[in-house]
Amino acid sequence: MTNRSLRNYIELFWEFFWNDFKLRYKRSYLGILWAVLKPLAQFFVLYNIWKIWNIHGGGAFAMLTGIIVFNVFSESFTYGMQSLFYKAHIILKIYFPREIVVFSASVVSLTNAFFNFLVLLIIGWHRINLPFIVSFWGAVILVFFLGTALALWISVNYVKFRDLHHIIDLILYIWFWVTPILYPLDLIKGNVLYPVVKYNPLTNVILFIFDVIQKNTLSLKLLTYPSFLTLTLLICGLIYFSKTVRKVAEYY
Amino acid sequence: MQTERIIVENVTKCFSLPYQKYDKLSELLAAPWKYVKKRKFCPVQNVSFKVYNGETFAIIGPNGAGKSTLLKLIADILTPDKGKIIKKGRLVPFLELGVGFHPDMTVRENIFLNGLILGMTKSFLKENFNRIIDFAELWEFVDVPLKNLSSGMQVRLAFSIAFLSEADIYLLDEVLAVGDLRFQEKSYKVLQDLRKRGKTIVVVTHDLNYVLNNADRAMLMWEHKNIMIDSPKKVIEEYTRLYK
Repeated sequence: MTNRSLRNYIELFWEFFWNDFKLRYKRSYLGILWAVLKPLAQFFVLYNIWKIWNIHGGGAFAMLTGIIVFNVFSESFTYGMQSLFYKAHIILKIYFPREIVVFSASVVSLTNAFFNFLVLLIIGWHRINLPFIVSFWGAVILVFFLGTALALWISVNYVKFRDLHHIIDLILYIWFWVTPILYPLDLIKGNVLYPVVKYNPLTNVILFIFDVIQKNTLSLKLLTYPSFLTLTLLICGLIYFSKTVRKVAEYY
Repeated sequence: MQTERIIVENVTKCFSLPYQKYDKLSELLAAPWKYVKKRKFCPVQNVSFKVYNGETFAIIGPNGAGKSTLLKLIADILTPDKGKIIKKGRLVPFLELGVGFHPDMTVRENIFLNGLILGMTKSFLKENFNRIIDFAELWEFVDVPLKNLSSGMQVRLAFSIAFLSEADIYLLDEVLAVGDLRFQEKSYKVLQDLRKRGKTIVVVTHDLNYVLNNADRAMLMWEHKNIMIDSPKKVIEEYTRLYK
């Protein structure tokens, strides 16, 4: 359709995002409190179990942070990937740039990160300082774009091939374990999985955030590879998406 | 010289329809891909027509003739396999009223969601909020979840938001004659008003009375082809003749 304003696009993006967010907590008595209560309970348990190990130097706090960062990646990927499928009733009736649908869904992962961050503040208040806050959000934004880029590659095909649901589930499960969050990278040297772990872009992001927690140093060099990869995947993903999405209405 | 708003040239659209047939679960488990056969199906075949500025153009024909697919092609939801479609001016499609409506959200929230989906801005919707509620006659229900409204009331709301949109071309797919008698009268007035203001309207409908009284020209779709474009009276006559 012609002549929609950029303003309409931006407002539509927020409307989709905000409505999905509201609907998650609508008709529950505790409402938005759930967004904090759930991670608080989960992290409380994990934190107290992991306190016994101190494999990263940063211990349980570092592992929790790593998990939060990984979750942003996996959520932005899955939410974005499923978005076209779930918004079928709108997509089949009216045209507007479909990118809005993918981005407004994947950005929900950032609100989850925000609430998880609040929980980190409660649990690890004595470890939080400015470099940590900056690098945490830097890492979160980076993996958000990586997840969204992958979503742009998959979302159109996801409508067509429902097998992808199971395939991506499996891939994300494996991806979590080839990211050195619950074990130190050095420990698996020589293992068959080591090359996979090493070239996993999330490994560098996790090592970067662990460096901040353990040594209080910003090893920005670690982010070069994941940033470059994300940017490439995002740009090519946007082009691929705009080409393939035109036929999406036929795939439902 | 009349200016064209929509030009449809030799447009064809085909789908491959999957056929799934298996008698035993074991057959499906052995080779799930073997049991999906495909057949080509073309709901729109080599259709051409032009719609001029300010006219009400009706498309009629039996179910499954390809009318809705044609509108979806014009609305950019589907892309033609062959031929091309040119549109001049801002187009708003109403292939369904109340696109995006969510039953758990209130009337107020749904007005903003639906309005934004239709291409309006938030400030425009705020300015016209009272007009929408007035027209839909839903003042008592502004902050009530949509699901607590009767289906008639929901369509009234959808209609009231929809026809606030400012466009040059309106595409309507079977969205006439909604609500009770009183509201139907109101909604027909809205369409007549749009027509008086020189808007272009393309309408798919089975309401032949409406076509006879309000359309400038009509087109008959029969078995996926455009077989006739003429005055509403002649086209309706041909349509009823073909049925006999």
